Amino acid sequence: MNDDFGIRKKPADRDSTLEKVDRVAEKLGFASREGRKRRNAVGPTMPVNVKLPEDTYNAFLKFCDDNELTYRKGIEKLLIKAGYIEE
Amino acid sequence: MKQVIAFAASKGGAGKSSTCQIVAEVLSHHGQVVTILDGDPNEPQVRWRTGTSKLPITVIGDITENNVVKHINAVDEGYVLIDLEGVASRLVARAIAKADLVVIPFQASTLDAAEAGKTINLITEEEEIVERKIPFKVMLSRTSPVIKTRLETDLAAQLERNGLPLMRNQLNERAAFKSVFAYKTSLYELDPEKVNGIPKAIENAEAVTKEIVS
Ligand SMILES: Nc1ncnc2c1ncn2[C@@H]1O[C@H](COP(=O)(O)OP(=O)(O)OP(=O)(O)O)[C@@H](O)[C@H]1O
Ligand SMILES: [Mg+2]
Repeated sequence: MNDDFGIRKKPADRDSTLEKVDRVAEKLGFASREGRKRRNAVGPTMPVNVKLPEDTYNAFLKFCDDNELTYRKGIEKLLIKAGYIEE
Repeated sequence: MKQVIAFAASKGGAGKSSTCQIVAEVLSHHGQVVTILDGDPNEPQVRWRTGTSKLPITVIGDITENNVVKHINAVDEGYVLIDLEGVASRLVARAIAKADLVVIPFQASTLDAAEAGKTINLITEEEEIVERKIPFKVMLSRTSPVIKTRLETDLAAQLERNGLPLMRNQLNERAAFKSVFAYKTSLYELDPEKVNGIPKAIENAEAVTKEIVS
């Protein structure tokens, strides 16, 4: 796992300064070197379809939202946190 | 007190890792708290730390564009030295945005000077975004301690004319500066039986460090 986001308890304030830095850097030839492909390469996948109580459903969506995670990453994050999979 | 110093130069082999390591050793030897963030993909600093040096320098490896800011913020005291990769990248730009000082080492060749210019342009543009000065110091590296080449003199004059702060001290080409990585120890702990010119190297290293942190 190469994911540097820690779990954030409260909504992340978007770091707009850093975004501006990235934009200027890119213009001057200092571009990102983290391949998007590598980030999302997961190997074989299995679908999971669950019906959740509304509260749980909303909490999960908020958790993913606040941490800027996809649902897949969100589940992964929680399992890491619970010690079921290794980071 | 916390002081963040980035070692940047998009030219490979300019002397970033060596200068970073040497400065870390001098500061640590003189009682300063030092953390190195190793952003060089070859991780020379991480490998150095596996050696026997008793200097309490903390080295953090695996520094990427995604975690560099977090790691800088996580240190609350002392010097944070960032050894950057020898390419133009987002990692370099982000480290610079968080730096109190950027040290740009380069060898006396015109090509290196052009690369240094690229880094300086980036710094200047970033200053506007972060709305503060990002001081930088340009340092000639791997120079001869005895002879000053014509090119060196010319480059110095050229930088001077452009109002760029070229450091008075330079990290000279010395066996001791290579040996600290080879033996994974510090200048102060090298074996004089194995390495020549240690006192002179220490003198040079301390002068360079003093000028960088002053
Ligand atoms: N002052 C010096 N005296 C002797 N050798 C040096 C000195 N500075 C650098 N070197 C040698 O030059 C080579 C490149 O130096 P170094 O690794 O410090 O450069 P760098 O800028 O970090 O390179 P990269 O961009 O690949 O990370 C190394 O083999 C190093 O040992
Ligand atoms: Mg290096």
